[in-house]
Amino acid sequence: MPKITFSIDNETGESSLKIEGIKGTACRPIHDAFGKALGKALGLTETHSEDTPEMREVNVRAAQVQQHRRV
Amino acid sequence: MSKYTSFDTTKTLRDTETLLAALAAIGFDSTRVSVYEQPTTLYGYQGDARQEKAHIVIRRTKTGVGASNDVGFLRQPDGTYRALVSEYDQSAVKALAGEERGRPFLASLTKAYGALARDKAIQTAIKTAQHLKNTGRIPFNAAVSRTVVGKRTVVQISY
Repeated sequence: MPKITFSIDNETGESSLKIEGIKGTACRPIHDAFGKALGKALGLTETHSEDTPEMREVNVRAAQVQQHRRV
Repeated sequence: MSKYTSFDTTKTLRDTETLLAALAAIGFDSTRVSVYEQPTTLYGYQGDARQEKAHIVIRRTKTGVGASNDVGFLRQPDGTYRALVSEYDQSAVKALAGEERGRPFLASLTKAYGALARDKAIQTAIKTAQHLKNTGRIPFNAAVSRTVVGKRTVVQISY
């Protein structure tokens, strides 16, 4: 089940966005929409971005498939 | 491409509108605060021009303290504001209103700014969810919830 979670630390003000269960590049517009809106509203900029473990696994599998095809 | 993304802290004085709202929340409303397009000179307690300049200024006569210097906020090239408060005023100038009344100015301002910016960030996340629905990026019946989990406020969209 796709899940988008925006959370903010009430004490430090540090915020984060987590997009889960959306494969391929479909999460890019969602990621971009949040980044753009937060930038416009508060000047917040992205400090860090990484794939979730689930996505890293998908990437590894895709790389293995590519490797297999080349062989 | 599921992702984790972190944004910088909402406590950094970065947004002009929120900064002015935070100043108003601690008693420095538009009758006490002047906003300049170009940085303007700050003055010391004897009326002497100081070398510092600022875009947002509380003139010394409006700080609520007798012998005070101008307090200013200078916008940096990266868009953040640097507070310019003399050593004397760091302990002399206090919040004039709200829950922080009587407490040191800068700490009170940072707290007020953080609370306002946090609320604005949460509202922005909720509006973004609605925008994603309206533009068909996520289903229109996606559930949007807002909860507090420990120290964090969480906006969750699921479908």
